[in-house]
Amino acid sequence: MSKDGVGGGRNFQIINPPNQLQKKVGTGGLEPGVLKKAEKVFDTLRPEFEATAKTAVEKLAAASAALMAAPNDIRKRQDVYMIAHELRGQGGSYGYPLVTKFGDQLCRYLDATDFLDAKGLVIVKAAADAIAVVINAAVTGDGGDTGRTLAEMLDKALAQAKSAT
Amino acid sequence: MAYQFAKVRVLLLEDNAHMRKLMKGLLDAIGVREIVEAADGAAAYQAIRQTPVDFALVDWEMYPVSGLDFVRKVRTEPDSPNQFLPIIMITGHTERERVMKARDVGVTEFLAKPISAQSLTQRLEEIIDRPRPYIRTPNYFGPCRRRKRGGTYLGAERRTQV
Repeated sequence: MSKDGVGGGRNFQIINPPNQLQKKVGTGGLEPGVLKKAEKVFDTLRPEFEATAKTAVEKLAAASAALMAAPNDIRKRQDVYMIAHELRGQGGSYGYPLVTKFGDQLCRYLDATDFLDAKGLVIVKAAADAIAVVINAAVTGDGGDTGRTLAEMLDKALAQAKSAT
Repeated sequence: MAYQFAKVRVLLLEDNAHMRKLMKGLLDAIGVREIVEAADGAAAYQAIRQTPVDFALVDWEMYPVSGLDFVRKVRTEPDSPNQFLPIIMITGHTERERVMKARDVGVTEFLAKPISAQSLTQRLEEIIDRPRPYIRTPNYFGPCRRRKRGGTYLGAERRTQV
């Protein structure tokens, strides 16, 4: 079913297609217990995440080191960004919110920064190191004192870079 | 009677092996039995032309054809098998301008990473029980972008553009 909005300067059509998905799935919401069953999938896959994250951390360290040597090489910068981006997207799902937080801070910094100077490189290294500590020492949740120290370290590097601009 | 996903076929467009395993596990947990998998946007588009799907879970970043390009093709190509396909975009890009960009190519719902069982099922409830109307203007085709329930749209009147 559709409704046209033409005239008076308007030129658009509103279409309400039949709800084919609901016809197949039905109504009434999720079956009881489905959410719990879905949550268990994360528990099952957590060891696999931790193993792949360790590999990703090694790659991030290597990519960061390569970026230090050529701070404005777009490809090297993209390598760092993509590893951090994958980690930020997964950490929080498996009980590692600090991986998501630090990865997000790094990605947002790179998004907002055209040229990496010495202070920018400090941020890249601080973020990569912080993520490595979280993964390698299995710092889950807010990480307590360790988490606070790491967060302060990265926040300080970001604040210094910001004050310099 | 609760939702029954046994007859539903889903496209999963994801190039990261671990994320693909996670999404398949979650879909299995809610009862989906048939999943069409693809690792880039071009393969996904070919796949749904051959095998119709009921909704799609699409990651943004991939090479050579991104999830975003896949959405654009589904909404605008003359040979699209289903311009009204509900598409949930899974993305770690939560920056406002990126979200706006995806919305403007016709994404139905966003599922921000890191995902949880609850965030996924909430998006499924949205596409099943609260589908948005589609809007066709000279510049846009896709789900209505004025989505805040009960809110008043205060932005520019794009629908007047010819």
